[in-house]
Amino acid sequence: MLEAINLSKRYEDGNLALDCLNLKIEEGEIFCLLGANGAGKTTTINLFLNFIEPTNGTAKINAIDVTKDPLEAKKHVSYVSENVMLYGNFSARQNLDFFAKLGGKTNLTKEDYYMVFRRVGLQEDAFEKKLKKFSKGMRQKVGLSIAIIKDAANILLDEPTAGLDPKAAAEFMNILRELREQKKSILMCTHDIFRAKEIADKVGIMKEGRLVIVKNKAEFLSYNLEEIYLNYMREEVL
Amino acid sequence: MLKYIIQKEIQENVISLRYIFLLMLCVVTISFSSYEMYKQYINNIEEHSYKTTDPNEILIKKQPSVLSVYISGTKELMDKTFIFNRDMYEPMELSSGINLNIFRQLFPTLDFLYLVKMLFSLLALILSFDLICGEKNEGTLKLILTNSVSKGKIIFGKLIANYILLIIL
Repeated sequence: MLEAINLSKRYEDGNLALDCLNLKIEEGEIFCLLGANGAGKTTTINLFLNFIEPTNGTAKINAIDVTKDPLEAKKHVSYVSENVMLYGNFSARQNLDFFAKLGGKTNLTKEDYYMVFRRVGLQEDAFEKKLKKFSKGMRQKVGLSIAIIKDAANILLDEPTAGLDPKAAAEFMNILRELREQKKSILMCTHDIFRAKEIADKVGIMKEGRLVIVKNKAEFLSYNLEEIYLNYMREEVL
Repeated sequence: MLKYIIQKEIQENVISLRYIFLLMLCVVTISFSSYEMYKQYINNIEEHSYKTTDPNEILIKKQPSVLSVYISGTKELMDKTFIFNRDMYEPMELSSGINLNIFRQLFPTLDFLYLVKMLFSLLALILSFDLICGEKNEGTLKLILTNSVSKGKIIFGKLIANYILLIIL
């Protein structure tokens, strides 16, 4: 379970990146955060990962305060970034092996790694290929494999489908559905309103650091989510 | 956790072009140095077999050490032979016993000790200059830090791994 209570972040230059964010993502729930660039989506993820300290409020992972006990909290979270960066001189399997061990999975075999690669749709001939020869989409798949193999209860995704071709993005969404069935709590920050509509159980729209609206599946399916989103963005322009 | 960071660091470095280049540099310089020192050692052996023809002189010669192939020590600064005349109490060619050639002190013999002091200090620097900022620039540090591993462990693991790599060199 992921929880933000009055979470705020003001950077040293005075910019209020996140203003009193309150959200709760239950087990087996996908929460999509929509918003323009600089709306505070990535700041939210960075606060959950304790990469930055909050100015106010608390971020909790499985009821553990990430600022008080970051190492314990990080045992229960996986992360996939917009642009997965891995060790170029290592093969996909070696990268997965290293990060699996860091995630506490120390007794996995080569076949276990291959199974995860097959699950995310990575081609067989790429398993032992060096990462520097991989396309962005392939790297995203390895990044997702790392998140899956950790088997954490919570997953943070920062624009994971950016730059993926439609087929790869659709495969990605299928994996997210499987993860939801496994009762994972998933927070996905994205610009892709159509993907959000397709996969989310709840959608939140962020604007200038504030979570201005939250709609559950029934609500955003009955309303026109695109219109709601664009109205908020238009206000921003005006 | 520390073990995996050390393993990864060693594995990553060993297959990197930089490490292969440094390894080659070490092999070449050490081979060159050993060859030169061996030649000097042979010369010293030949000098050692020199005998004075003057019956009034006693020749005292320092025997070249086998290990001088690797480390020259102070032998370059010290005289190798001392000739005593039977009629004199003082050695004839002892001068001060120490060669004060400043040029030689500025450019000492390229023995193994010199290589360890100079070359290996440089190698340590080349190996370690981007330990953390390299990971940060590559973006991998962020992914490591999403796991339950402290920054201290990462730095310590990298330090140990690079010490091991330097020892291998």
